[in-house]
Amino acid sequence: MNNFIRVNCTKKNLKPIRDFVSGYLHGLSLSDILTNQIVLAVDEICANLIIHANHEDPTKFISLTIDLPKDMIRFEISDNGLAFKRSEYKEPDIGEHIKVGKKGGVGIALVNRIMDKVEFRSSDGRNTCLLYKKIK
Amino acid sequence: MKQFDVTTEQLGEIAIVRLKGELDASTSPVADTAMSEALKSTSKAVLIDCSALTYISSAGLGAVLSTYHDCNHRSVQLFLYGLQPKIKSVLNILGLEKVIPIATTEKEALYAVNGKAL
Repeated sequence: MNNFIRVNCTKKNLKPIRDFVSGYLHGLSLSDILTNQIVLAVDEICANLIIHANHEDPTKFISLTIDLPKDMIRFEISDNGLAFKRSEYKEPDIGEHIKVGKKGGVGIALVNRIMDKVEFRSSDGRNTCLLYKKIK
Repeated sequence: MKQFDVTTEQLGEIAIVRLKGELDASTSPVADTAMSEALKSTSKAVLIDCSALTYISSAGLGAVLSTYHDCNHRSVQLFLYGLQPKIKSVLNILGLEKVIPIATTEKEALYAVNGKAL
């Protein structure tokens, strides 16, 4: 099964990424709800990389590799854009979002709540996000 | 097949926004505009039909939350209805089902808004 995809940084490529992840997960016989949540977590990271880290620059690329270490599924998403600064991240207050009408800022909260482990690494201008989810 | 589509209709004083397909960072501006326009057309309620909505990301949720904020600001009611289980589960992850009014069906949403069946 193909476990790798590389796309350039346009929002139109979020759909092909989701279709690729859904296709991979289809073979694992997960529930619709779990499949959707995992696809969502990957989509949120890719959207952040495309929009915020690479400013939707179509000359830049992100790559995604999926593998299956023991009882888990792992997604490795890499780019050469601006690194995500986890130390500056704050969990959103949904009530406050509604109060001020804020449109963004809940994507990473979704990822953190869906996945069992989320790592961000940066080295020599290359950034990698690793997402782990137990599936057995 | 089109990834996402949105249609709006007016049912008396109530605006209904029907979302169809996948609402993500790419398609959320279209939904956002449609919901804002729907709000301008009513002083009573905006109902968001999610029965054909197959996917929602944080960008889509952001558009809904922003519309809900604008509705509150103008004392207009907002209801989501027809959510598929996988869409409902995304709202539940953030606790939004406790914040945003949700009805099971259009009939139930209309009843909640009107206090009677249409």
